Amino acid sequence: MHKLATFLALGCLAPLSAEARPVSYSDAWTVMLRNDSYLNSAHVHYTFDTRHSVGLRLRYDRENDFLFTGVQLNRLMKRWNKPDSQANIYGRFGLGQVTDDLDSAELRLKRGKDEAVFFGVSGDWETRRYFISAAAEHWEHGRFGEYSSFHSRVGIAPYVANTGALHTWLMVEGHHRPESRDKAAVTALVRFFKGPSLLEVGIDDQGEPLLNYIHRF
Amino acid sequence: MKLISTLTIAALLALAPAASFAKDKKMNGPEVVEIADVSVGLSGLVCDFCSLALNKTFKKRDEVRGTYVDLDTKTMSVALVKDAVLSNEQIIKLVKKAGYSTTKITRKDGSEFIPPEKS
Repeated sequence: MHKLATFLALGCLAPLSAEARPVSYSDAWTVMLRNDSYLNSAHVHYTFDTRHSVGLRLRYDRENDFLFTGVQLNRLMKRWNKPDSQANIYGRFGLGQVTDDLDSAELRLKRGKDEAVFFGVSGDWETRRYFISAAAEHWEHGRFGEYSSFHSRVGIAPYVANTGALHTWLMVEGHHRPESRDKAAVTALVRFFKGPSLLEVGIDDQGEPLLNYIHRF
Repeated sequence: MKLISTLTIAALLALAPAASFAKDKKMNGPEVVEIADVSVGLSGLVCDFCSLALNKTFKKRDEVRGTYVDLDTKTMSVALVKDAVLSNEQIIKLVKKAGYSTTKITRKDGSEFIPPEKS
């Protein structure tokens, strides 16, 4: 029940992508949700200056049944603004607690709870037609073990839309997660982008769905 | 406890957009281009999140009546309230605060200002 409630809350009420641009403009709030076969993740952050944001991060590990709850700090390390493109490098750091989320007491591995820390780096380059990004994260979960993930993504916009119109992107994302059962996966997805909202719907090579959502306020 | 925290966050998220939009009574459509006092050329402009960042940053200023960012022309049109002034330095600073770079500032009287490379 606990797991189901958490999943519904993360997946339906607060969907977001943790690897998209994690720093917005000053005084902005952003909700980022990512849901795939490995995890449900929510990150709600406040951008307090041009280069930094801080917020709450929830990450439910679906493979190992535990939940991370903590604080995440994001830093825009470098941005290149060009006439027809933009490129960014971001760093992120988080600190929090991991709690076991198995339903049945008999099945629990008595992991209880433990402190956790993670750090990551990501980069992107984007024009109005093409998109490339890459991200790496490493998590230390104490008794719950460690977890690394490497993502990269390429995308193309079939048409170039102007301000306020519906923007559409076709994308392919590659994953490498050395500690997971399925170490590598590929996901095909469609990104819809309009005003302050971004929705991504996809499916991976195992047939598992992906649903990400971002909203900036 | 976890469920309560999650539901509280969800409720806040649901209410936040209404609160955010309620505050924004300034003009933000393409009609701003017709009445604009300043046109700002921009670099790094690639998506609607960029437009949002610039619009929100400029609209916090009392001098600003409305803004519109055009991704095709890579310009932001800024309409000012009567007798208000935004200097070139203030505009460059606001664009930088939003995360972008200014390439050119054109006033309604036809005067142009091209900032140094690092702006």
